Amino acid sequence: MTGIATYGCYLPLRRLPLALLQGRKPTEDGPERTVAWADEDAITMAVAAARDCLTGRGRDAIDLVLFASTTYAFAEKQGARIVARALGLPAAVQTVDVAHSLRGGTQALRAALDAVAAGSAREALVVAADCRMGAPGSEIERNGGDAAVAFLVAAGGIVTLVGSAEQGEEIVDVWRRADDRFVHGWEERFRTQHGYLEPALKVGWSLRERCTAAKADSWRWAISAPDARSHATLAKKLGASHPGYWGKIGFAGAADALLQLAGALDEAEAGAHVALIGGGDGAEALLFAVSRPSARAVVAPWLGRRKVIDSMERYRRARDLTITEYPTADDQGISATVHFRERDEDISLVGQRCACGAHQFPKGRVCVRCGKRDRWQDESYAEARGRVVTYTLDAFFPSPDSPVPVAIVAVDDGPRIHMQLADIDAREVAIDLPVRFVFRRIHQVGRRPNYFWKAIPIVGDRL
Amino acid sequence: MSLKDKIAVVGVGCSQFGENWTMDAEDMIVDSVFEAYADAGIDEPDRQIDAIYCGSLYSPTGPVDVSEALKLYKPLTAVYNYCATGTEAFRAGCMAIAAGVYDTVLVVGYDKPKDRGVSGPSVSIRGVRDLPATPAGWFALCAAPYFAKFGAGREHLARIAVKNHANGCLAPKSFLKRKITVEDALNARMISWPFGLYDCAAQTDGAAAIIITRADMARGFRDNPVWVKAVASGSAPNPQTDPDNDFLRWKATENAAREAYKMAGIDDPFRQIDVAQLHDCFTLTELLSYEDLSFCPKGAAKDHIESGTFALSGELPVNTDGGLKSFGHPTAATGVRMIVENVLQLQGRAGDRQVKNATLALSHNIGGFPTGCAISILGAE
Repeated sequence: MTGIATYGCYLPLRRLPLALLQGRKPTEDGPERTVAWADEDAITMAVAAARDCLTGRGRDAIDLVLFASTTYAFAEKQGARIVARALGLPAAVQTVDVAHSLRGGTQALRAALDAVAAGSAREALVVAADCRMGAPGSEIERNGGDAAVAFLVAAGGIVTLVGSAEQGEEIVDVWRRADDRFVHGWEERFRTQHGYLEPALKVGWSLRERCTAAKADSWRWAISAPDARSHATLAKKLGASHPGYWGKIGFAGAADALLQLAGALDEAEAGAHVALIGGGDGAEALLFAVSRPSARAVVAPWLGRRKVIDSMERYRRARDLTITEYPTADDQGISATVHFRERDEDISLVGQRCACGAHQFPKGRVCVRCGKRDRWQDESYAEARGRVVTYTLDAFFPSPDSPVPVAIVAVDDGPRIHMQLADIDAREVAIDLPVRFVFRRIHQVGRRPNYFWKAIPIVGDRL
Repeated sequence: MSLKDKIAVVGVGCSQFGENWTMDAEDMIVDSVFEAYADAGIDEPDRQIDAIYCGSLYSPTGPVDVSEALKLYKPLTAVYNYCATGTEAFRAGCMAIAAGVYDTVLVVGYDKPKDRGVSGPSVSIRGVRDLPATPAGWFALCAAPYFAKFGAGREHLARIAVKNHANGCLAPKSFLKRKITVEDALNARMISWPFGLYDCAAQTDGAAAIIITRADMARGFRDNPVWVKAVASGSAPNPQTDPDNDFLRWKATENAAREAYKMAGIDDPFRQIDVAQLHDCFTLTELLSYEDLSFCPKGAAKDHIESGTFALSGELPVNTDGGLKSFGHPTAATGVRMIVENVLQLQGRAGDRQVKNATLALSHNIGGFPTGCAISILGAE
């Protein structure tokens, strides 16, 4: 039966102690939120979550990619296509963006379930990602979090959708206009009561009434709420609930509901039911039946991989919140034709292997080893690992964490690639350091996000 | 075909190097070329010069800078090979004379980077992957493997900077005339590890010019011409992605050195060469060049740095006028400026920085990622 086959998530490494935001001294175990760093955005996090979801699984049957976000950089130009390209999926894959709504994640998941059930896609990949930007000093900034989550929908999934309830609401409670950087909200009590609690409770009760076949003691609620207090209020009225990630991640926008679902599925036994509530322009409730528990805990490893931001200055620089005299030059940026020709290297980390066996990155016509021309086969290095051959620490490259480590990385059984390192302290960089590759924003030349891959140190088996 | 003893340098000139806020490229070209004219005894350039070979990396207008500044109606060739441009322009001129196409050629290298409003080199962004690097970042990539293998460190780099700053104080047209200490160098702000500020060349404005002619015509210009013993060039694919690069050397220098020594008939460069100008865009580049040019075995540079082999009073003085570090680095002028210094040294005209009894002098440029190297060897006899 059509359902969720696997799922994955991504949390950025950096955590901002909420105390720091409020001008107090952070404590060891105080509440914090996730922060996408200067080289991360909804697209890079979506790619990372999708790779987590697809670990050890073939990608050949994916016919549809849905990308949900409210903070994608372009108003015109598709995000799902970048994600698909970074994942090395072929051009024939259908790609769809689901935008403008905090319920984008759940909406995309339901569309994917429908598409696979209808037979129009063998497998569908749903990726939701958001960087939650509240105005500096606002409650939305403190409540927010950055995260991405991915679900693969296929025939014979381990989790199936067994019921749903919908309550749309036309209301101006939280919004971000086309030119705004920050999310705005109307008065808190208004938006909590009419924007969230009323529709969320309605769909919760409605789901209960509709799904009487699922035994009440097998239900566990996964609640996506805009703040911890609303979460607690709803949980009290509905019953047994997953606690969510307050003080750890924060409200992750369009990715939040699916993140709650992933967290609840991590803990669900066979035969359990997970009832998901997501809000935004009303609310919806979805009931999932778990036929087999997940083979691994998805969210916990990412929670454990963290680095605490030690200064507001660094946070502001990473979020582009510092005021500078000279704004970034709005030039033409990277030539679109050059970018078009170099998509394989830049977006997919694809190079080439010569008939003589030598690998080369970037692609060229003549082999550096044998000198012969055009005997190439494409090779993807995105999922490979490598080690640092040599490095420098570049104090000139603009970054909140100057100096930026730049290395020659030898891909295992592959070429050498000149690339930046990320998510690493400059003091940890060393020759022979084992690394893997992540898709990141390399710079914003032309006021566009320009993406390439970076190397990060390998931590444990997966991350 | 060997170029040995077929061409002679008969006149040299050099503008003031520095942040020449009040000078155009035109001013510096005119200053250096008219000094070279006077040095060669040329008073009718339209009659006595047959062709111009020039180079510039930063010129927004290109080769017309030279013909316009000098008001010359002559064949003009512009050469470009990153930081090796100056020596490459010299090489092209030498080959034209050796081929019998021209008798007397003017070589000009010039650059005016200080009109751009930025310190340091510009980073041109072609594709997404081009950006996360500066020249300091490219040239620093040999440091970690070299330090690990041979036990050298930042203090050895610092000593090179100290030496070149001291030499620069003795050259009237140099940019920086300030002695520094090893501590100054080690404590300066970091640019790209292991390079601090004093490990990096001073990017400046400047121009340098040389007059070269057929060997058999040389004494018609002056009594003590300097003879071209070799000019050689070596290029390499990008060393950053070269699967066989050990990051202990720059292959372009090794390749060019092999060709240059063969042409000049040199088999023991350390003993035979009396003075050398090496491309110290970064201190580590000078260190690696000692070895890549076979002045000493691979890994032995630090011992020679400690014992002062390459100091002005050492066995093989290197960068007698302060080098790129201290004399300044107007990119395309640099190779020509090195030849100017070697000619002055070979003719005993180098003032306070004169190396005694110098009869054979080498100059070396390396540029790109680094991907191109050019070497000249000049002799007094």
